Amino acid sequence: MTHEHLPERLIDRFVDEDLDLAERESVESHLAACGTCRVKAEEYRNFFAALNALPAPEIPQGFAVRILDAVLPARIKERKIVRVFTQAYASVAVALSVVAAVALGMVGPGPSTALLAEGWSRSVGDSMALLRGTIVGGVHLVLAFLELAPLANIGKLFIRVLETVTLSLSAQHLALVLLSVSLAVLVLAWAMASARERGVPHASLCL
Amino acid sequence: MTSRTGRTGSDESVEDRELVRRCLEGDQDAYRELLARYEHAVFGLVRRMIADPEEARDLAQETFIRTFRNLKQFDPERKFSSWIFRIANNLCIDHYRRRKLDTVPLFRHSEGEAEETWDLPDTEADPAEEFSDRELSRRLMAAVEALPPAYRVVLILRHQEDRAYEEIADILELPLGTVKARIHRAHRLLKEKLTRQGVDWIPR
Repeated sequence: MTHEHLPERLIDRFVDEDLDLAERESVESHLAACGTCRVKAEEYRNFFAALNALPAPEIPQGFAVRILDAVLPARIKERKIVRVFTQAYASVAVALSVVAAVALGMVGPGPSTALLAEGWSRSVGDSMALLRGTIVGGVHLVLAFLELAPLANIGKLFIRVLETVTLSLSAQHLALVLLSVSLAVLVLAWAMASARERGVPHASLCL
Repeated sequence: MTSRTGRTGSDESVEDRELVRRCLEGDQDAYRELLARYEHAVFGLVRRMIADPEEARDLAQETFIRTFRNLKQFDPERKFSSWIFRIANNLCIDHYRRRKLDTVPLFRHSEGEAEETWDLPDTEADPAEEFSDRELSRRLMAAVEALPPAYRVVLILRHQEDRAYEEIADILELPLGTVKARIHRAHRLLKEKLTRQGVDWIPR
């Protein structure tokens, strides 16, 4: 005796629980009597089980950071502050590097840079003296202006300290200090940018 | 009638609505909680729809940013999950359009749509091979990712996100019958493809 098998789509809908009660009972009744359709239904069950078990994609590190930065008011403000600080860091680093390079170029070889600067001319010493004179002249010019300012005392103190440091340190030491500071600032700015890319909270780095 | 409701129960909707309300009051923890509830689902959908991992990440993040920035427009009578999935899907469609993919029209076919004549290429077919669960999973995933986007999205929403047919229709703004037709056709094609590769769906 032969009989019609269930359409594959009906078996699919049965296994996917997309039939109403009457349809479901009808299919169940057929399956009870038809081995071929039972096998087909079992195939669909296992197929769905495999589909349902597919691994979910892994969320990339730092996924939430950009979202929260963009939508939370406090985070937006914090991000602006960090950006300003980062830009300031970079600007200071570049300025210090330029000053240090000029200073080294002007003063010529010292004990610690003798090997590198062996061929430099002694005449750059005169240029360094000119630079120092310019700095000191500039300091006095600024001081003259600061006399008029309300924060003259604080400004004068700062400028005096700067002048003292400039005059007391050897040119080589001054250049090395400037280079060290600029290097440290660049490393800090890089670390902050890198940490943000990885989604690491940056507050600990910028404060 | 669809008896399976998956994770789309009423409790989920109530909790989502409460979180949205708190977000609108400026509660930052509510934003974080809402993000935590949906980041796997949204990223999972977008990542399966977009092949490039970095573009998928950007689009999934953009989904949340747009959702959060437009929370005032959320209709509390509707499911938040449907809303955010719809935004994700629309961003994926825009992405395809920007890339000028010729599969885009599939997203907008309606009830009487003709079945496309695409087929999935068979690779590494070896009927004698015994498949481990891992290998089966790998081949199945490759086949899913080879589907045209309009079929892929319904399969993912159904089987990965466990969404009811009605919600999928709501997300995609398609008639229920179209959604069911696409899901069942995708089932048949995937199953046949894997069978041709030698998968025995009833282990002996």
